This record gives sequence, C-alpha cells and structure tokens, in this order.
Amino acid sequence: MEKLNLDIEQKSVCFHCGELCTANEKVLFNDKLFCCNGCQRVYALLHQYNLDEYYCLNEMPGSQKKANSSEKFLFLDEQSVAASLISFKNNELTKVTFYLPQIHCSSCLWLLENLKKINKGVIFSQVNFTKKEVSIAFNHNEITLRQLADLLSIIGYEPYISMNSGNKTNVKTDKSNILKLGLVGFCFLNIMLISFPEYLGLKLTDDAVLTIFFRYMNLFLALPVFFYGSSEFFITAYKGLKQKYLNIDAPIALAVLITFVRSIYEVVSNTGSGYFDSMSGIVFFMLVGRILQSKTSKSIQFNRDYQSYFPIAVSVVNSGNKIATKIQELKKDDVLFIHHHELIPVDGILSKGNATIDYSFVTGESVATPVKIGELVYAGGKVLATNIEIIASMPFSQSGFIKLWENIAFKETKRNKAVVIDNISKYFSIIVLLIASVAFVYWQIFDARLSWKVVSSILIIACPCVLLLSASYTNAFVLDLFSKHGMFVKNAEVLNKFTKINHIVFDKTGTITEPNHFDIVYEGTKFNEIQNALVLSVMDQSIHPLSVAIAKQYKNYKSIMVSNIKTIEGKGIEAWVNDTYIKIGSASFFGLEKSENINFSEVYIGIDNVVFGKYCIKNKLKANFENLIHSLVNYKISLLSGDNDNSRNQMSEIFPKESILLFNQSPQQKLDYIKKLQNKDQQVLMIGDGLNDAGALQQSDIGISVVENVFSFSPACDTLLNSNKLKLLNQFILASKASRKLILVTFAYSILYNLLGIVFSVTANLEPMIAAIIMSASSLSIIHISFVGVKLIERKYFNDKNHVLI
Amino acid sequence: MIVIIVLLSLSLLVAIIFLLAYLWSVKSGQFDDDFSPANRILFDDNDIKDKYKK
Repeated sequence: MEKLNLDIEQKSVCFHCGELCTANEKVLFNDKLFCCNGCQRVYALLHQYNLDEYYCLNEMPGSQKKANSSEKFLFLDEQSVAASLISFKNNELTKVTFYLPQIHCSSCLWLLENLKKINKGVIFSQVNFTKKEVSIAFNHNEITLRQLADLLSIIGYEPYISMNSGNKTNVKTDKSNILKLGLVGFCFLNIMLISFPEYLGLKLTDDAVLTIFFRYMNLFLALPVFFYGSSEFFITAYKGLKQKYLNIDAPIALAVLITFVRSIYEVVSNTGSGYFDSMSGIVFFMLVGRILQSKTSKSIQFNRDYQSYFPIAVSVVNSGNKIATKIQELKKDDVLFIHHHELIPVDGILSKGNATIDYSFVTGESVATPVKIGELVYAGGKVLATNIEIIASMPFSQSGFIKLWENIAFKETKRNKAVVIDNISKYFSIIVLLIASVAFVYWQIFDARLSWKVVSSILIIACPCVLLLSASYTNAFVLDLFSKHGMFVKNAEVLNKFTKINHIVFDKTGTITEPNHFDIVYEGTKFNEIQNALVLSVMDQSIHPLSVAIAKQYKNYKSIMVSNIKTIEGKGIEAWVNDTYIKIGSASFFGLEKSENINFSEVYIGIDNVVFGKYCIKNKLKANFENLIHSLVNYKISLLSGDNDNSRNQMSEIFPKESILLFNQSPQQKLDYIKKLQNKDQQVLMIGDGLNDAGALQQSDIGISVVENVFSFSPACDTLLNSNKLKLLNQFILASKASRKLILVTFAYSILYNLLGIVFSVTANLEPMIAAIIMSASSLSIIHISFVGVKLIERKYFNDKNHVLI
Repeated sequence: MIVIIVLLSLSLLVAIIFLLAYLWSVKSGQFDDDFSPANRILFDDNDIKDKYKK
C-alpha cells in the first residue's frame, strides 16, 4: 500500500493578492497578512472608506502592485494630451474611458463602480467588463484627470495608456456576425415550424389554400436568409472566382443559390414545396461555425507594435518648465526629463543625473549599464533609481530602436506552406461540381423530373463545409484549451506547424531564467549583527542590480543611515559608516584574481581593510526547466543568449550534449542563426521574451513570446506563453500532434459520410430535405466528436494531479 | 381552417417584433458586456445602510 505523503505546508498567502508571503517581506495589519507594503496600503485605504465588501465578494481579489513614481501621469495635466482621452466635457463634467487590464472579477467591478466613495469628485463610474474598460464621469473642478489616474493606480488598477489609445482609432466591434446569426436562426426555426404540416403529409390536393400559404410564408422568411445571412459566402466566393481560384465558399454559395432558385421555381409554379428549410439550415450552421472560430481568435491581441510599448508623452524641459509633449512631436536637441523606471524614448546624450540604464529589452544583458554625463543613451533602455535629463540627438521615428522594428524580418511574410486541408478543399469542390453536373446530365436523359432533386441533394450533402467544420471546430477547441493552460496561440495555422518542428531554440535571459530572482550564497567569514547591518545598509543605498539583489534577500537587519558613499564605476562601492570603512565590489577592486571557470558573479566584502568573504550570485533558472529539457528528447536544441559567457558551465550541465550554446548574441545574430537553421531545412521553434528576440521570433517557423502577464508588450509573434507555464511546453507540442490526429479522424468520418451521401443522392434515393437534415446532423456530430476528442487530449496531456479543476 | 392563416400571420408578426427588438439591442451594444449586469444586481446598496446608520 502506498504511504500517504501528507505534505501539508501551511502556506501563508497575502490577504489582498494571494501571492506567497516571504518571511522577509510580510506585513501584519488588522489581524491580516499581506505580502508587501503595497498590498497593505491598498487594504488600509479601502478599509478607511468602508469598502471592505471588495474582499467579501471574492477571495484575494487584488493584484500585487509595483511601486511607481508619483509623476507617472504628469502628462495628463497637459490639455492636448488629455483631450485625446476625453470623450465628453462641459463646464462641470468630464467623461473619460480608461483601459484597466487588471479587471478580472466581480470585486474589481464593485470597487470601480464605487469609486465615488473614495473621492467626491467622481460622479459616476461604469465598467465594461468584457473590454476591461471603465468609463468615469467626474467633476474636473474637484479632481483632475491626472489625480484620477493616480487614484486608480493607488487602489491597484493602474490605467494602461498607450499611444494607440491617444489616437482614438475606435475599432468598431463587428457585430454583424451576431446579427446575422440571430436573423438566420429566427428564420430557420420558423421555416422548420411552418414546414411541419408538409413533413406530416399535407398535400396540395388536401387543402390548397393552406399549403400555398405555408409555402409562400417559407419563401418570405427565406428572403432575408438568402440576401443578408449568406451574403458573405457569395462575396468570398466571388472574390475567389475573380482570382480564378475556387475557394471553400464556392460550393456552399452554389448550393445555397441552387437550392434557393429551385425552391422559388417550385413554389411559384406550384410544383413543390421547395427546400427553404435545407437552405436556411445550411446557412445557419455555417454561420455558427464561423462565429465560434472568430471568438477564439479575438481573445488576445497580437500584433502590438512598438506604439503600445512606449509612453504616450514625455516631459520636455523648456527654460526650467516641464511640459508634457507627445512622443511623436519630439525634436532633435529637446531636453527630456525622464523619471526613474521610465523608458528612454529616443537616442540622446545624458546631460544630468547619475544614470544606470537597464538595456535588457534591447540587448538581453541582465546587468545594468552605468552611464556618465556626456555619453550616449539609447532608446528602449529603462532608467533605474534616479531621474535624468537627456538631450535628444534625433527625433523619435529615427531612433535605432525603431529601426529594429522596420527590420526586413518584419516586412517579409512568413514562410507559408500550404496546409493539406486547403488543398483537399480546393479539389473537393471541383470534384463535387463535376459529379453534380454528370449526374444532372445523366438524369436529364433518363428521368428529367429527378435531375434537379439529384443536383440539389448532391450539392447539399456533399458540402466541403463538413470537412472544414471538422478542422475549424477542433482547432477552435484546441486553441481554447491552450489558452486555459496559459498559451495563447494566434490562429490555427500555428497549431499545424507545431507538428513539423524539429529544432527548438531558447533565449536565455528572462525566458529560462527568473528575471528577478538570483541564487545568492555567501562564502567567507560570517558577519556579526552589527557588521551585517553595516554592509547591508551600504548595499541598500547602491543602485547596482547585484547589490539590490543581495539587500533584498537578506532583509532582516537594522538599517543604518549611510551618508558617505562613493561609487567607483565598474569596480564597486566604498563607504564610511560609524567609523568603519566598508568596501564592496568586484575581485579586481580588491586586487584579487577573478576566479576562472565560474558561472556566477562575485561580490567581495571588505570591512576595515580586511576581506571577509564574497557573495556568489547566480542567475536562477526557472523551476522545472530541467525537467522540460529532459522531456524534449526528439528535438535538436539551441540556446541563444545576449548575455556574456559566465553561465556556460551551468547551461552545459543542463542542456543535452549535442545542443548548441551561443552567447553574446546580438539581435541580428540571433536572426541570422535562425535563418541558417532554416536553410538546412530545419523547422524552427523559437522561445524568447523581449525585443532583442523580435527579429528572430518573426523569422522562426513558430515564435513563442514568454510573458509575465499577457497584457505586457509582445512583438509580432505567433504565440504568447505565460512565463510560469513554460514547463508545459512539451505537453503543448504533444497535444498539438494529438489534435492533428483528431482532425484526421474527423476528416475520415466526414469523407465516409460524404461518399455515402453522394452515392445515395446520385441514385436519386435522397430527398434534398433529408439531405439537409442529415447534413445538419452530421455537422452536429462532428462538433461533438471534436469536443470529446479535445477533452480526451486535455485529460491525457494536461492532467496533472496538482492542477486545480476549474 | 382559414383561421390558421390568421393565427400564423399574427404570431409571426409578434415574433418579428421581438426579432427587431433583439437586432436593436445587439446594435446598441447591450450585449457587449455580459458579465457586469449579472453581477451588479448582487451588490448590496450600501448607501441606504449608511444612511440609516447615521
């Protein structure tokens, strides 16, 4: 018998956001545990205004907030910038709509609609949950637009304002699909209802008035279906014909047309009841299929260009005054004031401030670069710790950063191999039309009355729509399954490509390593409490990322004010605290030899001229990454990193022997490497996280962008993958292969069905109406097979015992 | 049996009125957000509670 391993660890989670509370950072307030000060502050604010209902409606409804500068929304004070966001304004009232990506539950809804309780200036607020927008009407005399944005930030719902929203290109939501479906559904069902008497045996000879009345009623109801509901099939078929190409919509359009014309003829000439039920049925089911497919592809926006990445405006300093200026209007020689944690929008020269710039998005280096006054800084870098001023050396559009986007890789369309299914559909349509014409001729000779019936039946029952439905429904279900488990795929073609992949390329920084966590080990003489406090207080004052990481890890010390610190660029820090001389820095700073063959960074500590020891800091790999690599046995693997060589040993231990590990790769080199692989006929899957991979991601056959949250910026890529779901990569690939098999199964089923259907129709054994019923039934059965098949796939590849059942 | 014609026509007319109502409501954006209205009705109206507390 298995021994039950009851490993129940009492994990403490934050009352506000649900993240784990580390011993170092947790805060206790009002008998509740919080993971950080940020969460506790939000709680305190809500409690103060009697908004505790927020926590009653849902458990842990908040989100962990990163602190940001209080001047983040300064640009909203500027009239011209604000005007692009405001939808209405008069003397007392202003109405604005903000996009808040953090909206995810009913607590968010409740809190945002009770905003007026926190600030009297807010008159009315309404949430559109599906669009994740809030529409706020406020009195601009009591609260300004900027203060409103700040307020939203404080409660954890920071508005996401990008250059796109500033341009107010309102994407009109396409409702025509739903309108068509409603109309066609209405007509279809009513036609079926009115056809009942005829189904049950009503004949013209029994009661002429009623029969004729019912027939004309059907005709009347079929008109909107034909002219409005099926219009898109005719339009696409026509467009295809213009290009001399018979696309999938052509047979459907033809079937609908023939059925409609024939039915009108029969009703008007009193020779029959027509096939309006079949016709409207076809249109209805095809529309359902289309809507289902389009729903899954709309859920994630993919091709965000750099406009969503940059802030909407930057402060330009003009004779001492800071004026918010739209980013597109920046000119050469403008003096820009950039706050800490903001992005540098254009290349420029540093004119004021002790700058340390984080270029990880552009180069992939995880260690920040210190920059002296007079040196160049580049667009795309993030400013750390202090505010700076730069003199722009070129206008926005010409910055090197933007040029990366205009790179050829983005202009070329991806290598597109024709999908097998498309080919089959093309031939299918032609074959069916051929069979229909041959049958028509045949029956005209032998029994002319039957010829129209035969043609209609053939076209109805042998619809390639069944073939397509199998693929489109299965794909729709699989895309949905993937997004449930954290991978958001752009469209079904990408799913197909997964099955052909034979080479997987990983980016290092931020993709397989945790971007914010390091493994820190101290080697040397232990500090006593006072020494510990001194050293850590000094580190806390430094802005170097290694010091920041160490200070964050060893939080339990009594902080001492350090006033005398000197930073020596590229070497380390010196400080005098309480009459003790503290020296922190690299090996060379201490005159020591740098250790060879290591894969970590060393930070040496010296107190009063005695070297105590060193901190060894290693980039931490994502949890379960090793398991992932071991599971990817059938693929060649490469690692491309923009970082330096230090981690080669660590990587060689984890990656299989034949994998290729390349370091110091520039964005262009990464792109070239992918091209090289493709020239050797490899199908490449690339996984990366930042702008420095953008060209390579675009070039690969499949590009996966790993993100912390799906609303963060992503370059044009085929797939978004939630960063903590990277470990499921192999399962995703296996699942796509399985889904391809499923499509083939449904395909075989539909071909069998088509063959039987054609055989029966050609021999005039099939009434068009029965044909339509069978066709509808087969469509439904295919949907069911797809659905059950995908559920089975989920159970097989994603059934992980720790997974919470949703 | 002529009465069936009258009945059918009238009921279709009523149904068409509802269809038109559906089309109008979709066009005017009432179904764009299907989550909020369902949850809004479950919120307590605290204003009344506060009023009586005072």
